[in-house]
Amino acid sequence: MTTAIKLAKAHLKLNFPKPMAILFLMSLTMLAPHYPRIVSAMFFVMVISSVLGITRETRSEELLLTLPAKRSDLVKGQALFVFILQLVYLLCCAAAALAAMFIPFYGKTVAVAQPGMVGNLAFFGVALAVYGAFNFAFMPLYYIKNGKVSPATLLIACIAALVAGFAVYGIFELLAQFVPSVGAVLRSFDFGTLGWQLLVLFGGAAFYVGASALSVMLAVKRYERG
Amino acid sequence: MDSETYALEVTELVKDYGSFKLGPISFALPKGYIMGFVGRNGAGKSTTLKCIMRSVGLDGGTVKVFGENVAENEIKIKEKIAFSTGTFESFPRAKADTLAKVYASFYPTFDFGKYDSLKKRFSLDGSKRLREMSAGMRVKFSVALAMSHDARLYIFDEPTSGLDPVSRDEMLDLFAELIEDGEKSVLFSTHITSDLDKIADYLAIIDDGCLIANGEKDAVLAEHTLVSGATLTGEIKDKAIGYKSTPLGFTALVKSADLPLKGAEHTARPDIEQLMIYYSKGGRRNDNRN
Repeated sequence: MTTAIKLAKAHLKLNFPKPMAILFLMSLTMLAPHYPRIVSAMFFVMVISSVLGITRETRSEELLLTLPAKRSDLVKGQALFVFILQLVYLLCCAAAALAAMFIPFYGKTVAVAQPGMVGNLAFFGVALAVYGAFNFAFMPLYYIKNGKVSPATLLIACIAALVAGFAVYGIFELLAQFVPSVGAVLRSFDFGTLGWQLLVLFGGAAFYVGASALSVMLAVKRYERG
Repeated sequence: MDSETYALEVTELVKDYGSFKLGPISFALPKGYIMGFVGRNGAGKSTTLKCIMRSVGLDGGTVKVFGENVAENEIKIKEKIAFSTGTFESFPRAKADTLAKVYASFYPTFDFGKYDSLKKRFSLDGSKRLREMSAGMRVKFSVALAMSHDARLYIFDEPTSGLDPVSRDEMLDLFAELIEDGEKSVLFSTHITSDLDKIADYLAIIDDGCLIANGEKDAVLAEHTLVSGATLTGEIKDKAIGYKSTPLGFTALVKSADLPLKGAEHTARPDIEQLMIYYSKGGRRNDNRN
């Protein structure tokens, strides 16, 4: 695991423009009124796909594979890099969502002027579940064959992962729409539902960890066949 | 056999991409020597080196470094290997020194003093981003990185291809310096055969995924003879590894053991380039697949 951590650090240090800076700027879309929060929360995909695409194009992956590291470490390192970006991005989004609660907009606040679920704790639980589904679809598709991934493969992996992610979100939106008790948790800032919000948050986090770990295992298996 | 006799032993190595198959190939590099790994573009040189470094999965065969199977102790063995590529395009927006720091985190023996002195020797500016460097400078940087940790086996993939003649000569001097203590070994792939004429002790020639000649450079060259004459006879055609025929005469590469041949008016020792050309041009192939 130490080698995988070193590889993740290598990605964080060597990619430029710094992905973190771009993610921070993208998270500010959470402050836009009438803009769906979940769309803002998915902008990390653009950063990740461009960073991974450039890494393959410039044969940076090949360079990393010549270091004292195993092929499985490379997958784990890159996955860790992706997960770090996702979590940092979600934190930025959370900060922006919090700020949106205090920004006035036509007598209300920006936070309530956005469609869909409100930016409460439960939303970030749902977002984690969406990210987990994204990873579960993306990782095994992206690491289909070592060194032979074309831009089309990357695009297909991204699209499939986005479909998986939005499908999970769609389920929650449907539940919020048709099950009043779920709607009360997902569509309100009411502190009375804080316990349920926390439950969704931790449930989402658990799903994220499980799905992401499984995605790495599958990706390693596929990549090692290459 | 002493496990330390060979720096590198490649046995029955196979990599099958579907559209291209490498091997099975076998060769060994004795400790303290330089081996030139030569072949035309697309012959399988880089694939072989990637297999040695396990950058790609093997479909068969084994690779041993100083007697240890790379598959069994990959990380430990890779710490003893320095690898550099002649087409260094990686992390173009990173600064050279930043990449060196990352590199150093993987090698416990990375020596920044050595890195600085190599930067000076190659006139490299570590504060530059890699994309701001010329192709030749990037190659030099890649070699500087590779040589800054205490490796025992140096693998260079086309290290001189993007360099001007002066830089190439400097690089070859550096390789020669490396093996002075008799402990270090160098394997370098190239299609610039004049580099091998200068410094290689051993030679492995690859074509279309097959090893066509391999061994001590002088022995490999002595095994072959270039024959020429006015008329290409059937006997020469039959024995030739490859030949060129014009209305004015012919030149053919044959095994020295097949001499004398009727119609061979002149004989000469071939150089590496001629070996490569005649083998690649077709005709008989040395059966090194076994």
